[in-house]
Amino acid sequence: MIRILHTADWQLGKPFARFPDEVRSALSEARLDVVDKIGALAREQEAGHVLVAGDVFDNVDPGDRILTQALSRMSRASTTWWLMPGNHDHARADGLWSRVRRQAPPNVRVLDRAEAVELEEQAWLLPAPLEHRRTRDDPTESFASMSTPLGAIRIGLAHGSITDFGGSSPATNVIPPDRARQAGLDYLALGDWHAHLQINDRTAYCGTPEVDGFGSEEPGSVILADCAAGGPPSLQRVRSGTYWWLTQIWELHGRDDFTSALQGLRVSDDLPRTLLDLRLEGTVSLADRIAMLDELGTVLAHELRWLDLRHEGLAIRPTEDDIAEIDVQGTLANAASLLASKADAGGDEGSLASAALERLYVEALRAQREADA
Amino acid sequence: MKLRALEVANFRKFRKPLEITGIAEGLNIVVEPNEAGKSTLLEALRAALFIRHSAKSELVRSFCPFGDEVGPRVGLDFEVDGEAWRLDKQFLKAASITLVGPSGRFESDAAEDRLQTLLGFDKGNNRGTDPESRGALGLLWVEQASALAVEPPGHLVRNNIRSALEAEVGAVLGGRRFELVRARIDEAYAALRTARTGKPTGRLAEAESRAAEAGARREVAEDQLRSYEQSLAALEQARTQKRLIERELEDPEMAEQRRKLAEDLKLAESAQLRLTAAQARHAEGEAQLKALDQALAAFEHAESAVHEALAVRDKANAALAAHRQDHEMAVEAETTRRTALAERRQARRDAQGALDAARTIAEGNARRQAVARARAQLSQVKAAEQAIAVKRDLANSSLTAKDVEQLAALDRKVTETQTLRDAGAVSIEVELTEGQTFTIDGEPATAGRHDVLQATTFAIGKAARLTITPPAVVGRSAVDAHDAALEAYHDKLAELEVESYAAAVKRLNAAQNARDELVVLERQLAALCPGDITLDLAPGAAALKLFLEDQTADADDAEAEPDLAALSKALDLANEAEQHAIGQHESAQQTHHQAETRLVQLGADTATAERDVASAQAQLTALEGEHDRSALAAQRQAAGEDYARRVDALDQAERAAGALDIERIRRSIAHQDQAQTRAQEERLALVAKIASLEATVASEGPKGLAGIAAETREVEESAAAQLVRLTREADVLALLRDTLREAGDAAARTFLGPVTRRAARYVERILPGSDLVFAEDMGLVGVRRDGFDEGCGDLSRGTQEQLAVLTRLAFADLLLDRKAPVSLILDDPLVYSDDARLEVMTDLLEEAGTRMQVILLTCRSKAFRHVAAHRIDLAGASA
Repeated sequence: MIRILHTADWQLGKPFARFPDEVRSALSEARLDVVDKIGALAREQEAGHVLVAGDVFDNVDPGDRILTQALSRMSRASTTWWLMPGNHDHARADGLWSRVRRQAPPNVRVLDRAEAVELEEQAWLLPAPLEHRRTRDDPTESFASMSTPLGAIRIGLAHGSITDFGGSSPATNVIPPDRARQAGLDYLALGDWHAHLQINDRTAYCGTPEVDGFGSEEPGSVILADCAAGGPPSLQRVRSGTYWWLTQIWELHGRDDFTSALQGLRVSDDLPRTLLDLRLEGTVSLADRIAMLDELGTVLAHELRWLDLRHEGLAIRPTEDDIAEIDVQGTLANAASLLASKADAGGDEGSLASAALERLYVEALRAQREADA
Repeated sequence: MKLRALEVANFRKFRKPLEITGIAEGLNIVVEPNEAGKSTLLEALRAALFIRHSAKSELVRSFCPFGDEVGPRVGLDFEVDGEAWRLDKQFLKAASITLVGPSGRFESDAAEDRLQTLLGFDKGNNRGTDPESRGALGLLWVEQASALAVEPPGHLVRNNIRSALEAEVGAVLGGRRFELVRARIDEAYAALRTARTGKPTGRLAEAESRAAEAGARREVAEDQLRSYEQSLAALEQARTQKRLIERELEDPEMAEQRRKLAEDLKLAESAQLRLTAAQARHAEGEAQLKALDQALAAFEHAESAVHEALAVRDKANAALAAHRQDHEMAVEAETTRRTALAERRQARRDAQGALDAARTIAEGNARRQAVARARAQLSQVKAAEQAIAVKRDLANSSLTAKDVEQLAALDRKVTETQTLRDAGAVSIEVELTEGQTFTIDGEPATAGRHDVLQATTFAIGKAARLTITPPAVVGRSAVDAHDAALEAYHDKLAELEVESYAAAVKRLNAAQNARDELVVLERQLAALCPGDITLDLAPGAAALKLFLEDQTADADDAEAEPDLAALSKALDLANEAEQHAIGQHESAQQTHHQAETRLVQLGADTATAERDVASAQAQLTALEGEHDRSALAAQRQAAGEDYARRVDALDQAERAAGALDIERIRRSIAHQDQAQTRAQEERLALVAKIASLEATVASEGPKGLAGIAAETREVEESAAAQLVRLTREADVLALLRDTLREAGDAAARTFLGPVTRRAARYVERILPGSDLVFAEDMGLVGVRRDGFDEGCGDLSRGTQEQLAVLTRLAFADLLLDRKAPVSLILDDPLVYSDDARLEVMTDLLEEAGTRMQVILLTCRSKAFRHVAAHRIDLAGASA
């Protein structure tokens, strides 16, 4: 039996350039920190090998800082790191992997050739490194022909899709789901899919150890696998990630909906380490909308690590009160009803009018406040 | 409010006090020329009401008459709400204010405050007042300069009007809140786009440039990445190429090929050597054969030369013999022709001699005939000369025309005197009868007429004696004159040697005729002596006579005339015959000459042929001495066989050499060597290229170009998203701004409805079918006609001014309804109005006068003469 840590899709050096600097540097640091975490986990769990199933780096040429940081963190761990090129950091002559090999400490091994390597006695690793960003070939095809000593544990390491996961581009590097059985593998450790996903008793995606984008409701994790010759491996999912990347849609029709949604978020999650992609939908009064956006913008946004708020879907139905808040009668009231009727017409113009109405509301209240004061 | 009296002193041009009293209710008109101080009066009114007595502003100082240090003073009687008030104000020097009204007397600041409340205006600022703070009167007291401007009312009036309007229309304007919101929105919009052109500015412009910069940076990063990746690809390609080349260089197949080629080359070289030897032997045999053939040919040639020379000689001899006969014939023919020519020549000479002799005879005959002709001419000449002599005598008559004229005069004189004498004479006709004697003065009388001029005695026989005495009237003088004339006449006749006047005339004419004839005769004489060249005789009678004197008469020598024509023809024939003979002789001579030449040539030919024969025979003899002919033939036979063998050998050697193309083998070897060298060179070049690319890759790789490119892409996307957000914000703000403006204008229209309606009554009179359009600040924006808006600035000045007055009137009406103190003062208004409009406007002002006090200051007395109003005279107002 051999105990390994199966991880993938570190995507070190991902830029996160659309975020403000402070968020950006936190996210970048977290990706490097996760290497330390995995190293610590390996020591804790006495796993002698960490298998990284592709996409160690976010791109084929990360800068020297990223490379050095990653390797020096790995060198501090007592485990052996097996790094395999994926589609983001595919192998090519004189490219990234030549640099890695030059700088790598002794406990870091580069798997840029499709050749079986011995992990330890009677335990062999069959890697399927990628040489191109996109290939329609099945990279695991050669597993069957890779011979290993009789009775040895065979662990496959590959990067690609088992099925079409419904991404925007057609699936590449498609791997047959029963590849483990076909190639006589005791475990097929897969990378590429960023969420944890077990395909069958011998095949699993470990997901990324630190989530790097919205679409996953859990923090990153790795798989702790005990593999034995012949029998299915014992797989254990272990959390490694710091940040939650939540995506939520709040359907709002009144103040109560909002309050409960907010409460739900606050109760269940670790807000300072949460990035929230929030989409508001439904229809509310103008006053409610303003109040909600105000609450989200001035309170929740600061509680969260990052709030990505999309509120275009939250329509307003200005009530008489709303209009009255702007003004009971007179010019402002007239302007408000002009905009309200344009907003009712819908379409781009309507959406613009709706936004204008909202702004008018805000400014009218502000002017009122100033007048009162 | 009604002004009643105004008193001004030490105020600008009014140094002396001026007092205007009895200002009427309704319309007042102050008509004064320019510079009379109308505008100063308005200024003084303003100063009294709106400027605090303690003010020392520049404006206030300007109230002082020029160069004086006095206190400008204004006094005012007025009514407000039916209560009478008296205001006295002095500025600068001993500044003071006194306000006396129904509720008592006020002084100093209390008076100012009371005045303010009473008339509803603000405390002015230090520099004086402005229309904004003057309240209703600020709007309604219109000074000259601002008459044209269609200004919005100040805020005091606005508020006043606003509360009036609110009561009337029940609407509420946004007021301050609206202004505030609008200002905020304008400000927010201006932070993104310029208000005027909508060009991005501030944050939006920044976002735009950030997006553009991000795009540019992304392109640069991608370019760098691409170039790095190209380096990687190039490196891989170079390595592959290098591997291929090295494999080629080490290929054992190539080495084997090279070895085989070397062997082939050796074989080919020896075959080549053998071929060269065979070629040499072949050439040697060929030369031998050729020499023997030449020797044999020399024999044959010499023999045939002898034969040919003999044939030629025989032919030459035959030709010579044949030609000799021809030659002799030619000699004979030439002799015959020569004899014939000599005969013909003699015949021609004879004919020539006969013709010459005949010509001599003909010439002698001709001469003789000419002399005879000359003689005949001479007799005619002599006759002519005689005639000429006669005529010349006649022509030479001494009588001249003048003589004849004198004679004629004398003759006429005779006749005249006779007539005079005959007038006193008695004419007696005498007829003689046979047998009777009749005497006159003793002389026998003749029959006929007798003139008796003196006592004459006629005796008829004896029968009678008659003495007739003519009357005494005829004196002796007549008789004497007649006698004298007669005597002169006869003397002249004697002088001229003529019998009478008639004879003289006849002789004169005969001389003239003779002269004419003489000319003709002399011409005849010249024609008679034309001369004769054959005789060498010159023209003229003298030459002729001289020639004939030498000639002797030999008429008898004449010979018979020879036939010259026949002789001449005979000569021509003889000539022709001679020429014919000459031609024939020349031809024969030529033939002879040719025959002779040919004879010489044939002789020479024969001699040459003889020599050739001898030479050919000598050559043949020489050859026979040199070689044995039959031995030569045997040698030729043997050499022929040897040559055939050598040809065979050469053929074999050629085939052997042809099988191995030495050049091709050498070329192949060279090509292989070249390919090897080139491959080595390429390999070296690739090594260098690989090293350079490796260096590039090693230096570029650590830069993390792909990471940078990915980052710049995300930055660009985020910048673009930000730009979209801000653009949308700007669009939202633009919409909001426009909507606010729209709502504001709509509200102003609704709100100012009452003002518009009031004004409409007036406006209808000058611009039928038009509505006034007010802005939200109650300022007049323009007019709306047939649904089109026209801004104030687009209207004529006259219309602008009229509208300004009318809107003021409308506001005044509204204020009047509010019971505000209203008084309308117009300083020099309606300057630009035409007559029709002016009339309408004055009508309206007259109407307004029924509701409020209106004071009109003008310099145009004529323009307002028709207006029924109270008139105020400044000049009469001085106190």
